[in-house]
Amino acid sequence: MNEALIAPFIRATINVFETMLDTEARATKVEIAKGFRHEHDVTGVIGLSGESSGTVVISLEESVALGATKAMLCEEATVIDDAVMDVVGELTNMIAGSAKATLVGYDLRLALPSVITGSQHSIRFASTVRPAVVFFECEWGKFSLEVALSELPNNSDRQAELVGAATCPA
Amino acid sequence: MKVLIADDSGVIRKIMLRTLNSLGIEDVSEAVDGAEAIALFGQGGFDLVLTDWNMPEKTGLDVLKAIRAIDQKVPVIMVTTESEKARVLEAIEHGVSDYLGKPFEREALQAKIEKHVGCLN
Repeated sequence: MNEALIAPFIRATINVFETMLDTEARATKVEIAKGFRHEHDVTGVIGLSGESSGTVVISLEESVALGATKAMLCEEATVIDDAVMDVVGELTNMIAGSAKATLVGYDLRLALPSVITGSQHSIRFASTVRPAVVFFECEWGKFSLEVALSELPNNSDRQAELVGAATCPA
Repeated sequence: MKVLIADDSGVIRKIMLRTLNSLGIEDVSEAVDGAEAIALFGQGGFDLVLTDWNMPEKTGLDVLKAIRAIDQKVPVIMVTTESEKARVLEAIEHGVSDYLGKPFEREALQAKIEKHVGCLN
């Protein structure tokens, strides 16, 4: 996956955590995934379709999911229940939605998010796309963002536009 | 003051409900998808509508169109991740009263509601 494509998703993640959860998310590492297995406890998945297509996956440690739920709903959560999964689904939706607004010319549409629980699960992407993984830390623990998005065929104008958008301040 | 909120996310409905309650608005109906929102609005009596765009069954745009077919005046605020210019223009074309992109500051949601509640008072 083109590295420039990941930038809007990183920025969207940081913005969503700051705006909705009032906390700082720090990206610690970016790598191209090779059979990446999600070791965290709860994972939100959302599909993107349009002139490009792909999948956005956000996988959180239980402590991050519980912290996010408390911050978003002002309610204490001690286990991963429906409320926690709803929060993870909405965070996934917001991150993908914010990023797609930056991907000018891709005309992406969001599917409805799904949430998976249980550690050591893996998500298989289309063989034509190599997903990028971004590792994050926040005050509640660690989480990861995985993005697999097909590139537009030979459209240098849009790529240039995307790179320009990705380097602008939020 | 009677308000209809439509969002498939329980989290967002809860945030909207809390914000409305903090403004002294207690008569609130919740719809979990667009079809339910249209059905509830058809029962009549709503003074304000807050709706998401991406929902199962019917979208928020479908909800907006259905409402405008029977009520041109009730304020409809779209609260959505669909914040691209083309989407906003499409909603405006179909009569949306206001638009708030997700993610949003709680204060921004409150300000949007107060603006339209104030117009009704």
